[in-house]
Amino acid sequence: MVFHSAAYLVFFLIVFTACRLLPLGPQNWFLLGASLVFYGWVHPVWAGLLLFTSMVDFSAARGMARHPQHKRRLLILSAVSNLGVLCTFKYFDFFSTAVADALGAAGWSVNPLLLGLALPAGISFYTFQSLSYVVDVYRGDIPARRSLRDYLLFTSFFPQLVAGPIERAGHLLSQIERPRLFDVRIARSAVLLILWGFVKKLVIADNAAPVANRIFALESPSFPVLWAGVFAFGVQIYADFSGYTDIARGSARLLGFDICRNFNHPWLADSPANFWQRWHISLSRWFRDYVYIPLGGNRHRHLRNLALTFLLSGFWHGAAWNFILWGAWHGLLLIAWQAWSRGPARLGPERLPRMFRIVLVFVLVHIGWLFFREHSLPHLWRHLTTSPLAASATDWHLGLFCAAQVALFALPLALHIALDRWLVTRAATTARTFTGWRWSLAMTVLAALLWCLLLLYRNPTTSDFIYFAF
Amino acid sequence: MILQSVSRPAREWLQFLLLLLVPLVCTLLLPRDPEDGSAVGGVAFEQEKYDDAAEKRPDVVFLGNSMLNTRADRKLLARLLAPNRIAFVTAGGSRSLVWYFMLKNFAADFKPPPKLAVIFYRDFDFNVPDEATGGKRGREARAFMRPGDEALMAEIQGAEYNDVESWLEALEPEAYARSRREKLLGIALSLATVGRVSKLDIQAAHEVAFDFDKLRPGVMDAGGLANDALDLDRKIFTDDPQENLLSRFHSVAAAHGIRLCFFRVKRRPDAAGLAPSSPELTRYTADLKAWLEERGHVLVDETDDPRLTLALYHDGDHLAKFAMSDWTRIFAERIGAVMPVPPAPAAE
Repeated sequence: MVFHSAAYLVFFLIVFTACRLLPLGPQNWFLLGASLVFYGWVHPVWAGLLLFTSMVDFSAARGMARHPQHKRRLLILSAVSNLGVLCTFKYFDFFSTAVADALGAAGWSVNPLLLGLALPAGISFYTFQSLSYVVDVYRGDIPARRSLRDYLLFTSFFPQLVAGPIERAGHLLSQIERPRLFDVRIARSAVLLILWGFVKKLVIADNAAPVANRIFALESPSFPVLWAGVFAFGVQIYADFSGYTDIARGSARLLGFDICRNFNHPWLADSPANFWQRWHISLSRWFRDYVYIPLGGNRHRHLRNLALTFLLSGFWHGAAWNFILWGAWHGLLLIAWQAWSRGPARLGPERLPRMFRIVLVFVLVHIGWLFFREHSLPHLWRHLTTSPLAASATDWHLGLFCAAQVALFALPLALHIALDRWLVTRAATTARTFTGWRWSLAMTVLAALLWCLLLLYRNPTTSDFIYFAF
Repeated sequence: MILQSVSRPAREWLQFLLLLLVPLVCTLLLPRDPEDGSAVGGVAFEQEKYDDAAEKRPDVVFLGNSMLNTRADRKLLARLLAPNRIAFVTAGGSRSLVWYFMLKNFAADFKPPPKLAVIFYRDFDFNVPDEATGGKRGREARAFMRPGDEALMAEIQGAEYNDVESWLEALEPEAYARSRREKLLGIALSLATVGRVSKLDIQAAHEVAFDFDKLRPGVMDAGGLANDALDLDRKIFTDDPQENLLSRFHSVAAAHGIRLCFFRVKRRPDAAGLAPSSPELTRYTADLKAWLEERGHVLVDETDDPRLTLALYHDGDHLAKFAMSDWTRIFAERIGAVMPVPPAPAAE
């Protein structure tokens, strides 16, 4: 089930009403059932897969509590089951093809063994979430839970199941275990968040998508047209993914849950490291806590750890070389930026005006989006070697036209940055502080504006959220 | 009640209700489309397309989608099939529901109706009437509908069309949103005209840059993939009106004295020149052919033609531009036998 469907609206109203009427235990059972219906709406078998990996992890964590001497083995069991499922569904065909290609290059021609399995939506998200619980129990950061029901709800909680944020047990599971409250102030902010999420998806992302899709369908676009397409994709993926997160957070808020923030105005990043503190925050933190730091973090072979972490992060996004290159590009950016920062202070990045650094990071990140969007390596190479000097004046105007289309639809994103910064100077959370009729009126007008924007500028040709594919 | 409410003053509940209600009330205040009796679901009828075809007083109409658009050289075909007068009614991405509307609301409505309607299709297209009826394609389909056709559309769409668009559209027709989005594109065009270049120059450059031949092979033709991905149940021939529109095609054609010719195009072949096939497809095609012939219609199939090699194809099942004239000659030769009047031998 997708958020932008009437089915979800009906589904959510039923869930919301039930949660208002049921006590905690039955409420959690109901939420678990609803989450499985949400996930298995199109492919019921996927819900079975989710239950399988969750139950293995739950049992492994319980086993750690009962038999601490076998902790390590149980951790390995959990990792193998999670990563095994992920590898089978997501990476098997990729590796099989890569091996066959390598053998072919060595003179042994073999047909790759391909499973051709459909990738269950959100598998990368929920396996990482479930795995993080087992690791946290292994480390002793949290106790192993006794309630299978609550644990299954933690891994399958429908607002964030398919495309995150990747929650931690310490945050979400503890909310599942205690009674939730409905606060009308919080609900007000939730409605605004949901509306904003829909505007991001249906107005901004879905209007940027056709521009990007048309340009990336060209055999060899000129330099300005290509980069207009990359810009369009940058806008699309940000609005699409953060829109999903906003709807997820808003839905969860109405049910009394607080889901972590996944984006914090990534366009304001003034260094590659800062970008990863603002973009897909839950994944960045996951890789930091479960890959980068265990590898040695800053203390030991720092550059190797960074490179490896980002390669894995790229690979997490998809079983394709372009995602690995995308991860490598970001790893390289971080390493290069650190080297620059450690150089002579008078030449360091901090000497540049912040606005300049923001623009520079914006450009570098968008070069990365080219790797992310272009799945064909020969085309990627052609794009990277396309010279701006070969473009005619008309090409530049055409590129400007394509970019201007996207920029106009992306204007609300820029206004949001300004509005958010203005609000932050006034309160930590608008929901708790901005009370009274004056603020209420302002929020109501804002909601009405968002709703009208949705009706008047939505692109009816909508598509699935991009991150469903991961 | 465990999801209890935090105690708040009554006015805060009132404020929350206001937040929920005001946007919905705003919807009622938004400007609406002017009343248009011919518009179905806010989409105007393709009157221009109708007039273009009707004024030719065609003996033969060709109906279809990009399979037809990327194959037939229209002027050449008109010469090759003379003295038969021909006309085309096409819509890229359309499927059997739109072809039915093309037959009923265009061809059968012409005065006089044509003697023959040739419908271009691929493999199982007639078995999936709900294909390309949702979202953008559904709105495009409405441009071929007359008031009163909505019931059939709804019946065909069934549960497929239950997404957010249907209820958003009820609040604010898509055509209106489109016109506003087009205004934004106009602004973008103005922004791009820095220097001496005119809007027309940029528009012309846009047409050239995104020309069909500039696209990568295989990126545009999702229809072929959809056709291949059908489940087994939909690969069995039936003329049940609950399942597809075949009986409706026949009823309209019979009522207006139109002979139908279903023209099965050759899907993209492999390097050996063979189009994808399966026992189900062979059986289905034979059953469809028999059904048509029983009713005085005809099925013409180019699938086994060895002259249509991979080299002639551009992307997916579409032919390359350079192949259009050759294909048109082959087609005229093949279709000549079913023309109302045998084509003149020296027409070219």
